[in-house]
Amino acid sequence: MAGNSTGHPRITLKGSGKGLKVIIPENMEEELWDELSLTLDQASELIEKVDIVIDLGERIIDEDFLMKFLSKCLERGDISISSWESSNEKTRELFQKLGFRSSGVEKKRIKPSGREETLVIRNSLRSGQRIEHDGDVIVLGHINDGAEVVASGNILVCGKLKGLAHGGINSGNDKIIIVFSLEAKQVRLGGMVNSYLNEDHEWWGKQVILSSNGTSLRITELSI
Amino acid sequence: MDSRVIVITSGKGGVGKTTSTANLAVSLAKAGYKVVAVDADIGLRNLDLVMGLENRVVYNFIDVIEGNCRLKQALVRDKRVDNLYLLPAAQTRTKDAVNPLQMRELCTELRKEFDFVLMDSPAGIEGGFQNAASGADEALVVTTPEISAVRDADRIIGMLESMQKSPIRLIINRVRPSLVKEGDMLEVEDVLDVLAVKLIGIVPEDTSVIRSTNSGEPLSFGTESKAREAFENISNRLLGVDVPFLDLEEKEKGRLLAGLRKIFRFS
Repeated sequence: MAGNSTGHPRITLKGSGKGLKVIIPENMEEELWDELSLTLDQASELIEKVDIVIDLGERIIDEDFLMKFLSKCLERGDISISSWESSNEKTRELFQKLGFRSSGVEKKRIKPSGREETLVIRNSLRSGQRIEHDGDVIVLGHINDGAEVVASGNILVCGKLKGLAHGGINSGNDKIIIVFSLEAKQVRLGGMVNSYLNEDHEWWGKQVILSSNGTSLRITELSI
Repeated sequence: MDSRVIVITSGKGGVGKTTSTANLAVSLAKAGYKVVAVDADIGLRNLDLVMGLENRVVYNFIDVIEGNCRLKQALVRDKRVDNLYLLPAAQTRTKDAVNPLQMRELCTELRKEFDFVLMDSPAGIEGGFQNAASGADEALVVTTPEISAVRDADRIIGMLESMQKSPIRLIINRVRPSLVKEGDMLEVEDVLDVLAVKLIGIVPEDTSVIRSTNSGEPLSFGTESKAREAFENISNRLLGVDVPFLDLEEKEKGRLLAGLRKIFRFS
């Protein structure tokens, strides 16, 4: 999340509705403490004026870490930490146990599980329903307007695609999306978005394959 | 018969939840059933106005839940027809004043007294809707033939399915056959194709509804109209009677012919 040009992680500051968010990278070990002092020094004027929210991301912390963290902050004097954020349940439990005000939700990230399985959905997806899966997804129904399917693998829609299908997330350009009737205004494959679709296109409502030619999204009619 | 608790909901606002609730409640009461219409739209009380009972509201259902009065005291009886009651919402509170558990308890109480409990749900998918739906067995989803309303109806149907409401049936409201014919409005088939639920009624756009809403006189108390016929058909279908759907297009054609005839007669 926080990386600069030299490649090593940095603490980042971000303004938010609740105050100033201090984002502590997950992959920092001992160098964190020097970095923390440095950040607090550099941004001292700003930090003293606003409420601080500490965002620990996925990091799992213990009492020792917290003590050290707090003492570093106390060295600086006028700092008011209004709350702690973490997307890790164990860390949140610790805060709760100690009576610290904390928040955050479990992040739903698609992480490679190593054993990709095909997910078969045997019904249509309605508006507001979202499926995330590491692997291929087969939808035996429609993906309605407002429904979303996000997968690291290929997607096969055996019905109308009106909502969002996003295939090949975090993976190479070799993934495809097959749709039995393309009626979506936007489709995504990997990091590419094709958002200029409408009823006038030749393949609107047709069986299509969406694939990548390396630089852009390609839509071709499915003919066997 | 076992009492039935039905939530009338839509997702999008302004598509006709309250109008449908009021008119179905009157039709069912006229058919001889004991009916209560519950306004679950706390903070935005409307059902009392549409039913023309606003001057008789004393207590509301927050009073019942909080124990300020007994259930019977809060029920407003409609004097125009036997067996029709209204349980009004509180106007000075918000949706947070109740929780789903309290709503379920309230429904259990109402079931003892009534054949039909019609819950008029607020728009949206948040707490208010969750409360209104929590005590219900079945659902009527109201939509208009517009893409925005249909997408919201799809969202609501998904949520009702996950709450295991059954059956979930659809009312398509404010259909204008002339616009549909010219391809400027979604057809009933298009809507059903997307939503894939059972249709229980098609209500045509009708000026009598505006008049009825503003005068607080539900359609069934007024003169003959197409919308009135449509709502009475829905109430019959709720009772399990097999009523054919109004052929709106035919009627429109008929009216056009009558109009033409009129022109020729006078020319």
